Amino acid sequence: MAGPLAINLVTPRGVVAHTDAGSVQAPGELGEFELLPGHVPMLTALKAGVLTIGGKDRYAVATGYLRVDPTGAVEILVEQAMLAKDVDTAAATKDLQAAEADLAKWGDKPQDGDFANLSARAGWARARLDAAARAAH
Amino acid sequence: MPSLKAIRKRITSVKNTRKITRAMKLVSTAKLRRAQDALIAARPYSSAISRVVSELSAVAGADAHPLFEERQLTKAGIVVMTSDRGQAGAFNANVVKAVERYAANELSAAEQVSLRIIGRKGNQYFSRRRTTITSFDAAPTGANALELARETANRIIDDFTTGKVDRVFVVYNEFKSAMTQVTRVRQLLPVVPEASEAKELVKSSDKPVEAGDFLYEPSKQVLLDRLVPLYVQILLYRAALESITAFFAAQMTAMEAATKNAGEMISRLTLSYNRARQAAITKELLEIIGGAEALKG
Repeated sequence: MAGPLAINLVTPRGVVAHTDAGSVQAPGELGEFELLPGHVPMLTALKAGVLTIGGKDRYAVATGYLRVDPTGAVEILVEQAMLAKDVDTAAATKDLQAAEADLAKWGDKPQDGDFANLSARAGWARARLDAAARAAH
Repeated sequence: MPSLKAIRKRITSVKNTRKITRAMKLVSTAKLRRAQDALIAARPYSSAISRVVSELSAVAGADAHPLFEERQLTKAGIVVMTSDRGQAGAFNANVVKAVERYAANELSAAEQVSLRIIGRKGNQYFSRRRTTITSFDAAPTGANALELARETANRIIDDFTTGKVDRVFVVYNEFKSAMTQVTRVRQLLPVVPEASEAKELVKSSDKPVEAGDFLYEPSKQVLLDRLVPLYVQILLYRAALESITAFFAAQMTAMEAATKNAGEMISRLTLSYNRARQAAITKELLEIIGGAEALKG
C-alpha cells in the first residue's frame, strides 16, 4: 500500500495547498474522478469545478491540469483556486449572470478569443457557486 | 537679478515639489516590494507548466499542436506592455523605442505589424502615429494582471489560429534590480517550449519522462489544447508582473533623483537669496553712510 498522496495545489498567485492526504476528488475533463494513493503516473486536464482534498478541504478551481508523477506526488495546477468557504456567492452570481447574458447575445458570431474569455468567466463563476453549495451541505 | 520676494517664492515651490517627489518615492518603494512578492509567487506555477508543456510536446511531437506551427512571416503582432502613468524615467520610452526598432529590423520582412497595447502611455504614443492598433487595455495592476493576461492570451491565440497574425511577440520591461530594468522582446506564438527553465524549482520528479510511462487523459491532443493556452497566459502574466515591478522600480529611481535635484536647487536658490539679501543690506548701509558724509560736509 502506497503512502498518502503528497499534494501540491499551485496557482499563478502562489502555492495554495501543500499537504498529504488520502484522496483527491477533481473535476476532470471527462467527468469528476477520485484519485487514491498508488495511482499510475497520469496527466489529465481539469475543467472549472470543485476540487476536494482529503474529503474535507473543498476548493473552487478554474481550468488546469493534474499530474501524478512516477514518485506518486500529485501536482495540481489551476489558473485560479479559492476555498469554498471564502466564496462570495453574491459576487459569483453576479459574474455568472453577466457572463451568461453576454454569451446569450453572442448568437451566430464566430467564437473568437473574446468568446473564450466569456466562457472562462462563466465557468469560474459556476465553479465558485458549486463549491459554495456543496460546502453548505 | 530677481527680487528677494521672487526667490523666496521659488524656494517655497521647489520645497513643495520635493515633498511630493519624496512621498512618491516612498509609495513606489512600498508597492515595489508587493510587486516583487507577486513575481516570486508566480514562479512555481510558471516553471511547472513550462515543464509539462515541453514534456508533452516532446512526447506528442513538435508539430502536434496548431499553436506550435511555424509559418512564413507576413503579419506580425506585438503586445506592448507600458504603464498608465509616467514619472518613471525612460520606462515607457524604452518599450516604445524597442517596439519601433524591432518592427523596423527583425520584422522588416513582415508586411504588416499590428499592436495590442496595454497601458495608456503606449496608446498615447502609437495612436498619434501610423500604426495598426488592434486593441488597447489599461495597464495591469497586481489585482487584475492575471485576468488581463488570460484575456490577452485568448485574443492573440485566436488571432493566430484564424491567420490574422503569423507571429506574436510581447515587449516589456523586465525587472533586474531596483536600479536596472531591461527591455525584453519575447516570442509568444508560435509557442517555443523552453527546456532550460523547466529544470529549476522542480522537486516532485527529476527523472526524464518516457512516452510509455504516462497515462494521458483524455488524450495528448486535448491536453495540449488545454495547456498551451494556459502556458501563453502565464508568459503574459509574468511579463505583466515584470512590467509592474519594473515600473515601481523605475519610478522609485526617478523620484529619488528628482528629490535630490530639488534639494540641490533649493541650496542654490538659498545661496542666491542670501546674496541678494546681503547686497540689499550693503546698498542700504552705503546709502546711510553716504548721507551722513554729505551732512558732515
